[in-house]
Amino acid sequence: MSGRKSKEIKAALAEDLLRRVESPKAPQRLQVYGLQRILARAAYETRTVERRWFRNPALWRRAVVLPLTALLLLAAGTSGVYAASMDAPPGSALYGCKIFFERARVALTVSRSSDARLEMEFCERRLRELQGLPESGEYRAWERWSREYRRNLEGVDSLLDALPAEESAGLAARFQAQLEEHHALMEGLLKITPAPYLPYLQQASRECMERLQRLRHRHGMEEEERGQPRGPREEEGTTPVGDTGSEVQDGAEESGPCFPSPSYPQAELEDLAPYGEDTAPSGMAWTSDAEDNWGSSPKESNGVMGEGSGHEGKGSANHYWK
Amino acid sequence: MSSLEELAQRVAEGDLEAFGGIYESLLDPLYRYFYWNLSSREEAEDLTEEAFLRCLLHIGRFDARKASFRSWAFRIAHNLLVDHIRRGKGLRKEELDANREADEPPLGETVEEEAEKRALRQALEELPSSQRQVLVMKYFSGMSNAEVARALGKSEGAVNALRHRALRKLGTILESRGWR
Repeated sequence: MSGRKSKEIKAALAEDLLRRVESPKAPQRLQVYGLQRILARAAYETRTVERRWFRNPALWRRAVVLPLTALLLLAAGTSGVYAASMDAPPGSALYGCKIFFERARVALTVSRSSDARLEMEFCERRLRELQGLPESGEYRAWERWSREYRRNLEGVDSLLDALPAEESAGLAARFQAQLEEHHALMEGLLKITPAPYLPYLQQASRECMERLQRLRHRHGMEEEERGQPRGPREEEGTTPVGDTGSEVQDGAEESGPCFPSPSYPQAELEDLAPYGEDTAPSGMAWTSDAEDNWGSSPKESNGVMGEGSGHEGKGSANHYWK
Repeated sequence: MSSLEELAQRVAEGDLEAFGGIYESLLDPLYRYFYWNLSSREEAEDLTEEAFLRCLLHIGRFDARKASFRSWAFRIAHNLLVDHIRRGKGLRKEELDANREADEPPLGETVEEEAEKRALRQALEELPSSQRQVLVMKYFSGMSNAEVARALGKSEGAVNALRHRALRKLGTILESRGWR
């Protein structure tokens, strides 16, 4: 009890001392100049704070809003171009964009089977473009179309080769059906396509046929491996070609002389040079009635389009359009 | 005379002259708070200025419904002090004596008063920081228990208990040094 009392006394003593001791006042420097210094520093700090981009609306706008707007505009522009280019026909200004977006889509897929599906989809797209092509008056459009179509075919083919058998089987069957359809349609178009553009279509059709032959051959081998008998037509060494009833000789299926049109000798078709934008194809003088020109050599026939050099001439195209 | 809360409201609305009233009212209490918690007058002056600057810059955040302006200002001062001590610039015994000798005693202060002050300061140094701060705020800055509680973020009961423990310990220290 006395210990507690003693502590209370000590506490009272300490409190007394605390109350008695005179605490110093703020020094003169603070009293006289302190406020001015504080106000000056506050003004400086405020300016500094305003200079920070995230506090300053102007800088905020500059640092965030402008890039964001630019990004949005870019996205909107890209979407607009994408949408506009979807219906672009070959040879038009936006066709390049369409092809670019297609390549980008292929590049962005994660699996080869998706790539193959996309390339097959693009092949279909090419076929739709082809149906609009005969009205076009430019070689450039035909050349571009042919190049892109062949690239798509090549793409699917190489992807199917790279895929494991179990994955590629279904896709190959689908691709084969697709190519049958393509070939049938091209057969029909070969009869009505203007002569100057014919070589482009023939080249595409030939590539289509080559791929088709390879797929048929592969399909047949697979069936053999599975122990299924081959169909009677295959056993005979002939393969049906679309709905046209054309036939390709068995010995020719690997080397590619598969273009079925009876109108044009195969040797001439293989001589087709790659066509530049401004160069008329060597076979440009061909007509649907090819016998008219078979007598002349490709050199002779080159540029023999009506009255002028001809490949850009509307009249010359009409001249050969029968 | 306007209350500190009214003055703060005016400052927040852009009337910087009103800050003069706040400065005048809180200069001595804040300076004393730092003076008794730190080793030198210079440090106390610097931190006092810094505390006022922070009050001015953040006065827009002051909410009179939550605390008195005095509590709010001392809360800022307390945080400043904690940061200062954490950075190793607080009470350092080896520097303390040198600084104290360099401090000139105010004019008119007797030797006895000076001795009392020195003894009290030495005794306060031995108290835990929380107890010392309660005593300084209560006896040198003239704050109520409620204001001290708000400034330190404690309950009034806790502040009262801390104050009692601090006084008993301070008495014991003073007695052990022969101070009666």
